[in-house]
Amino acid sequence: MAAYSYRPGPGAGPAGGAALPDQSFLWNVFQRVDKDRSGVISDNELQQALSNGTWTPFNPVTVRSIISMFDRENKAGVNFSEFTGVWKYITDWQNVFRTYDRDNSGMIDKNELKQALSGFGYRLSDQFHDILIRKFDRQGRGQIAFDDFIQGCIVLQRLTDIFRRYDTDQDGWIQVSYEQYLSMVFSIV
Amino acid sequence: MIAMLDRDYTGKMGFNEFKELWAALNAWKQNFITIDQDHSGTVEHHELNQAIAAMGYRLSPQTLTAIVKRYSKNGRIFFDDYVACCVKLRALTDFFRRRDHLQQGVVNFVYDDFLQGTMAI
Repeated sequence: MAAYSYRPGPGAGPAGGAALPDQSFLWNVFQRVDKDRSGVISDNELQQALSNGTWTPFNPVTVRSIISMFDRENKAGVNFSEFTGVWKYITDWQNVFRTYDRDNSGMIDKNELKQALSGFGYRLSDQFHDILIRKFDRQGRGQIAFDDFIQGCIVLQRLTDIFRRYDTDQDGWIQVSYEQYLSMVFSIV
Repeated sequence: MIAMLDRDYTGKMGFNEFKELWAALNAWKQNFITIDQDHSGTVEHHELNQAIAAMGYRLSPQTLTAIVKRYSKNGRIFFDDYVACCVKLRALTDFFRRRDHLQQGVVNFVYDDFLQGTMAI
């Protein structure tokens, strides 16, 4: 019996989620974001188009994570087709964030974070949430803004996925050598 | 860097820990300068491999390649990325060592601890 239980949270996109709007709408958005009209939205262009609700630039690490998730050609950007995936991904995250930001403060505090992660299926210790907020909160207010929330969830999910892959008997324990540990986590954290 | 030495997860570094960090930074800088022979401010993949080995890490070629790839920009590694690599390597190694009570190079991790320890780095 698993000593822990989780199911993947929002995977390459939150579960369920927004229906795609029509192509002409998305094309308009794409053109507005693709400022230099290169046909590819770069990290910078995407960063400028996104808001985290704090009047400070959107977390560039989150931007990088998102672009690399959808960039199928290793070009450090997304074309229109890939952008539709990006649009849906971000919209889904906006919906999730709004759902769990119960007091509508624009930030997710520790309790709201506990609800969110528990809602995704994670069973995590109380202390873990403090660590996550301290690690990812760039605003320094002990709560977590939209862009940092996404990045924290992405890292949590990747670590969970890699742990699961090694936990073949699903008992919540893995045994790894030093090099295995390095290889597992170096690309994630 | 703070996380590398913040063993009690307070998010802060005391004076002794600061001294430790300062010494580490100096050592890494000397290492980098030695290897960056053309003073370009960057080193190549195989030079970073050598630098890591010179720091005392015994890693397989595959592990080294994976690590170095993460920090290289067009085949070269800049000083700040090199420092980031050193910090991470040291922090992850320390964390692993603290769990390896029998010093066998193998650790049993429970999910929670794996997450918390790794994420805090």
